[in-house]
Amino acid sequence: MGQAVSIYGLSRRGRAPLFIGIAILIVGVGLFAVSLAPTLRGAACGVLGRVGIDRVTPGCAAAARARLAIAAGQAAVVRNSHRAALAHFRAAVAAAPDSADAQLARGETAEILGEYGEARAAYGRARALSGSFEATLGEGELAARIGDVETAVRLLATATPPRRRSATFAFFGGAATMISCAADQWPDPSALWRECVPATRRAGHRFFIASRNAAAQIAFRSLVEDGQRERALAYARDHGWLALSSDWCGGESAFDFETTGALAVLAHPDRAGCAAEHGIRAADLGRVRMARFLLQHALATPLDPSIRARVEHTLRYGLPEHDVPKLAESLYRTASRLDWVYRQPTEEIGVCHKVIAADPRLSWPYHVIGRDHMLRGDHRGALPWLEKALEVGPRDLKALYNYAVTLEWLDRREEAIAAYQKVLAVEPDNAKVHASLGMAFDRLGRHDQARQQMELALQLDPRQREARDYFNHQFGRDARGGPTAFTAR
Amino acid sequence: MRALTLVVMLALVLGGARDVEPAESPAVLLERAHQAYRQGRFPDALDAARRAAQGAPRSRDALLARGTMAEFMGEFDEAARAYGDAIALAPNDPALHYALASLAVRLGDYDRALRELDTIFKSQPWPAQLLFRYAPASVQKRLMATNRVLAQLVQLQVDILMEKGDLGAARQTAWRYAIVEPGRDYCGESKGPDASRVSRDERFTRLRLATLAQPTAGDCIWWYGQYLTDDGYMRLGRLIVTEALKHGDSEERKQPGYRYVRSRLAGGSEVPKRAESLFLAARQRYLRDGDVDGAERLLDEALRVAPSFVRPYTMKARIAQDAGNPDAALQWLRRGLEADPDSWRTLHNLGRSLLELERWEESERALVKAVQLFPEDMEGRLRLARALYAQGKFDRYAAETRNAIQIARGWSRGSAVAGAATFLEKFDRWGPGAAPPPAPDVEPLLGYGQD
Repeated sequence: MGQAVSIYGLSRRGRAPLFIGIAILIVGVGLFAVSLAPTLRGAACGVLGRVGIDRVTPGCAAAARARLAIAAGQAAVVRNSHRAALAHFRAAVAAAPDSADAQLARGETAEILGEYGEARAAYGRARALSGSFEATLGEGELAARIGDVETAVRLLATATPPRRRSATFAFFGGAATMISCAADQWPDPSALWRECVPATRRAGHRFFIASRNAAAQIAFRSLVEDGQRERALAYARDHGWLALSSDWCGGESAFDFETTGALAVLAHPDRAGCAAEHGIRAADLGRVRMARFLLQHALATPLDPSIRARVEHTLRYGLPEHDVPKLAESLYRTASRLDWVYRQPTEEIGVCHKVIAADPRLSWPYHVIGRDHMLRGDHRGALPWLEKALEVGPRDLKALYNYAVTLEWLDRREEAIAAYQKVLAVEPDNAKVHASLGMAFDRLGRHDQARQQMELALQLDPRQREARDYFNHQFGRDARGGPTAFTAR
Repeated sequence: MRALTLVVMLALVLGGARDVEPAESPAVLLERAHQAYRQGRFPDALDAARRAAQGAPRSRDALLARGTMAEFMGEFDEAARAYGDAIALAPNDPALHYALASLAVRLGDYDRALRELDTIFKSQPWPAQLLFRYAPASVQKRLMATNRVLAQLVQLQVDILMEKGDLGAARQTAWRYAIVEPGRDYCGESKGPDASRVSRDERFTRLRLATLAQPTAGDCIWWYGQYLTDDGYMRLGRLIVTEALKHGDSEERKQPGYRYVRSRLAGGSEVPKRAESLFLAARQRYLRDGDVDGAERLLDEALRVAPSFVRPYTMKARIAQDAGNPDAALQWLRRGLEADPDSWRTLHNLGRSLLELERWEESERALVKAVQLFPEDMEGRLRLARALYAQGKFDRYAAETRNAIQIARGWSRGSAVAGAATFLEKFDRWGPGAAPPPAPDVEPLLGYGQD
């Protein structure tokens, strides 16, 4: 009985047939796996992988190598080493070109690094292999990013997430709302029921709708950005969005701010002004086409004078003067994400060079490269890039400001002051620039002018840190702000 | 005739309309006060708040605004009246109780301040009160993170207990409400490699936590006391420096601490809290707001309350000096020295003023005493060297300058004394010249600045 259940108890002679049997079984399963279609083979190898024998099974060895490479790539992603991760995913694809997981991982990482060509090919292969939602969404979204609107619309029309996934998304969205609401309302138990439960229900519903329409929103925005206004409106109508809300200008929206803004413009053209804030936000994020669409429509309607001024200012100084190709816009956003989200300045600079190749007239990438030099303390190296940025985009105020800062570092203080003053001529209410100008005056020994600028900075923004530090250094901490030394801070 | 009458009536009506402008409503004035306050135009803010409260004497908001702004400006009696009127209208208003607690701290009535805070805690919803009173420190930490008002009140309570002189109770409260965590080395953090990169405020916060969490961290407690003294908090500064002197090694190593108490903290004698608060407000009214009259009035009041408190004298001297009246400045500094003969700052400033008037001998006398009280006074030594040089006392000039340069280099202030070093080199090579040696401003060390 013991011999039947344990191989460890067998004699050397008794073990041999057992090992031969296992080897025949592995070869048999392997040959069977090789004969299967790629999808089924993947599943079969997956099962063998669970018990750890896929690496020694013919037909599954490549899949096993791919699995290990994918795991290594994922670990690299967790370490925020996307370039290393991409190398692993490439190795995975080389080992198992039919692995949809490897292709998808390669596509996602290549996209993050701005390798759009490679990403598109990988997504396409992944979609062909698995037809999964992620692969279709990835390929469709990338098509939208490079301006291939028709492909984007065609692919994204078929990309709907599984219902269960949307439900999970809605559950977690609702739970987050409940936690956040409860943190505020916990001292009053009745408010938990009165306020938090309805808010949770509404949030869950919003998250569910957003999830179901995630891909469609991308297609819709592509149409809007491409100037296909009527088609975009029809698309929204076909998806039942116009019935979701009677007023896209107010209330809670399940969609992201750009889609909401575009729907407001299309559904209520006479009240397009309500999309002004969305437009300004889009401009801040570098969404040139969407921002221009929203802001120009907003400007055509009656607006509060202060909002009108901001819209005009954003159109004039916050966006490039020329039409930026969609590819350049998307690459620029990829570069920004590499900086702000992934903190990979070297990769960011690489993508900026691609932006320059796609649109040499856009000042932003030159400015980013210049700023990168500044952050590394290489102000001499920063100067030519900032000069180039200002040459192609003389209205780029951020570049002008950093140009002034760089001049100051290079001890060209009078020129720096002139540059700050140019920024202030356009943005007289910019507290930060007033403070920088104040510091420049102070370093030149022009203390009265310095103080004047610092006072202005604090009047415009009482929390402006540079100005506060200046006064604290000059006059000591203002003890009047609180009854004790700690509370006054 | 009728037409003429009509014209005359119209003229009267229109003329009258022009003469009588519609009065500004209290609401408009209140908004203006808040706006001016946000923009840092404090005298305007107080003026508008006063008019708002006069226009609406039963408005809680207007009275609270008047009280808050008067308190900010150091007009404590006016603030007390406004808060008193407001609390009569809304006796259970937590914001008013907080305001009363704040004012009580500024006036040194710590028990009253603690009572007001207790009233606010009792006005919280019962689940919060229950947790606040009985939950363990791990729960309190989350409670403080989610309820910023409560967290602020506890921080104020800790400060009040410290200032009251009950450091033990302050530490206990800090542990109880998880302001400090067991096992964490706050003192080490305030001295660590990143300490030089953090802001002055951040360093101050770390030292405060070290004082609360690590009763034996004498050096950090000592630095905290110096920060407080620099900022003008004489009472708490004295208490904390005295606490620091209870720790440490030998009596010899404590000598700088004793000297500090003598030369910067009026020998450890108590300064009435009201006078301290008046001085703090006056200083900022003069320097930041440019309100000379208001500042002088507050300083006079501070001197009435505490004639032996030296800082108002030094401040009055500065105001006189800035107004181009050096004689008056000298008078104020001398009066300051009568009140506190060992005040290093007063001696230092007196020496400096006399130096500018080329009264070399008198300047020398003041500065010699200043550098005795604070041997690391680089600026004082360079000025003393200049006074000595002007009198032809070249050996002593060279010795003082060498001392100053050595100290400055030791404290990473070598660049500030570079001119003096070059001058000394030339002096060593060629002897005295016609021009006087430079006496630059040197950034003072911790504990000796801001006044």
